[in-house]
Amino acid sequence: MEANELKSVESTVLEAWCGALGLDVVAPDVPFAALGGDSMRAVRVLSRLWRELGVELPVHTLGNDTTAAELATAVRAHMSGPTA
Amino acid sequence: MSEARNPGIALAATFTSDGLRDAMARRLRESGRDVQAAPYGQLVEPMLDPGSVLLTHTGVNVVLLRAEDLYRGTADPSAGDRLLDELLSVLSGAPTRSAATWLVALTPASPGALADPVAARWIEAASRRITEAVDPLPGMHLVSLDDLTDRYEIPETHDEYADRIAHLPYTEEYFDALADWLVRLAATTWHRPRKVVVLDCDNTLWAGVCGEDGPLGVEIGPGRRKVQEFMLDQRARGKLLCLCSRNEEADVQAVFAENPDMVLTTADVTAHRIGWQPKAQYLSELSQELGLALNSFVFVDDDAVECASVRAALPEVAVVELTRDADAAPRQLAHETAFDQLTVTDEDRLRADWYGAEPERRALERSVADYEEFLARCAIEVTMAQLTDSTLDRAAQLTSRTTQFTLAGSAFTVPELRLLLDDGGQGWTVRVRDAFGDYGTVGLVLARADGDVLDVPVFLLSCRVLNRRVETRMLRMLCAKARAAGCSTLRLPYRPTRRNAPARQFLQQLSGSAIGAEDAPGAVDVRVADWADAPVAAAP
Repeated sequence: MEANELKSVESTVLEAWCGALGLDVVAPDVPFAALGGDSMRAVRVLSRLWRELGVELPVHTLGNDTTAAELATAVRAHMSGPTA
Repeated sequence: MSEARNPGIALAATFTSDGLRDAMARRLRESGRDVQAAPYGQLVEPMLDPGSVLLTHTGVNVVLLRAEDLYRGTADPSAGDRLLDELLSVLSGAPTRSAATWLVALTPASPGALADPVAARWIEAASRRITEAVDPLPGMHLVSLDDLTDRYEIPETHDEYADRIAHLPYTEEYFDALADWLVRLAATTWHRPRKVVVLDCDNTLWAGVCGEDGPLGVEIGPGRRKVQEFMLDQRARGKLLCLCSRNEEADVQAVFAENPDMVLTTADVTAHRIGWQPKAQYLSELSQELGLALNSFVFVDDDAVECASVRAALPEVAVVELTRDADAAPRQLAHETAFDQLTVTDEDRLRADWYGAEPERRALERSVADYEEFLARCAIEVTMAQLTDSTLDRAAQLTSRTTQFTLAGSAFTVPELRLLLDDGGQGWTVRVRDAFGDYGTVGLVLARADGDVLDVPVFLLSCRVLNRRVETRMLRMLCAKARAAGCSTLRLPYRPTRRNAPARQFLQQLSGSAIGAEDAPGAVDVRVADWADAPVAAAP
């Protein structure tokens, strides 16, 4: 159950990265900037996560050095945050 | 003047515009122009600061305004009132502070703001005030974005969350479309708009072959109807419509006369070539007949071979290979840059009607042996009116479009014209009408007194009224004004170009010495007394 949810958050994050970066595949352990990400694209990623998962992440959550895996962790922390 | 550098676009917006700037820069790259952006969210400052990207610029200034941004971060929309007042006053003065052409657009309000009745009312009122302030300003153009999402088929305009966290109100797709449209509009100030649209008939204006299917057998469904409406709109914008079809003329005429679904009428068509000669030849003939160069032509045809042969034979013609998919055709036309044109003046609209009367005029020109008699029968009226704010746009347009009868050939922007007037100069627009119709404002004279010499940096006349001796009438009227101002000499500076032979010829008549296309710039002095005393009505 928990593994499923984790996977679903991670795949949503990866899809959001692919969409914003215009890539077909994104490795979860590569920093955002190394894939061509910048602050504008970061905003698009966060906006998509807000639409799809309802998480309100501030801009600095996704920086140049952030990897997709790290962002997924932050998303999950945020999702469980308000109820914890 | 403004072409000394390679001016690009300067951008100021009430919201984050980095993505938009990048999208515009990508589109401009191949033309060697660039996009500069004012600091984030600033409008008033860059329109006042003489060192800002907007005011140090001679290209196109783009100002994007989302009304609700004027009160962003406050609870009450009325908090935006003061900034709005500032903005309106700064906008009104902007054209005089800058040599650029201004494009101002109100960008869409967010769904959130529109859902709040108080905010929605404020936005509506603010938008109206901005529109009313910008609309009459010469050199400033209000760009409507109302149908942008439809034209570019954008699925989603707003990005609500990006707006909240980064003041990035619109989606990537919307910014992309906006960038495309703004760059296209800006480009129309750098290139002369094309003037003639030559249309194929079968499978372009209608589906089917009129020679085989008959006037009622060809089909004009919703798609083809829109194509025809598009062309009618082009005509309203001052373009001349012509037909060029491989057919028997009678078969094409029958469709126009009998098919009830036709939108275009024969009255909308200025000239046509219908027959079996190569289309490139017909286009050259049309160019001769209309007296307009082929580089002002757009050729629209569905046939790939016809298009290819016109491209090969006449590379200066813009060729639009129209899809046979009737539903896709209107969209293709909407995205075709060959039709782009920013300024629509009365003269643009008049031109289509005027050319309609041209064959009649030409016929008369041939039929009367005596040219003087012809001119007398034309009953040409020439009036010169002091250059005013409302005519600055047309005046600037004339300086950029007129290439044949122009002595010095400099293009002026509206702000440059205004500067000249503010600096002690005087200007007159020249209006011409004759027995056949009204040509509108077709000439411009700018002058400045320097002691007893009246210097004339601009003396130009549209090629539409050449060979009517309007230029000598202008010279007489100008000399009368010079004498009234206490000047004894009129100084006409000139700059020879390959295209201004009519102007050089005029100078030769005045000075007695020929001026070649390759000659260095110079000036011809005219004794005011020689011209001001002669009766105005008589031909020289």
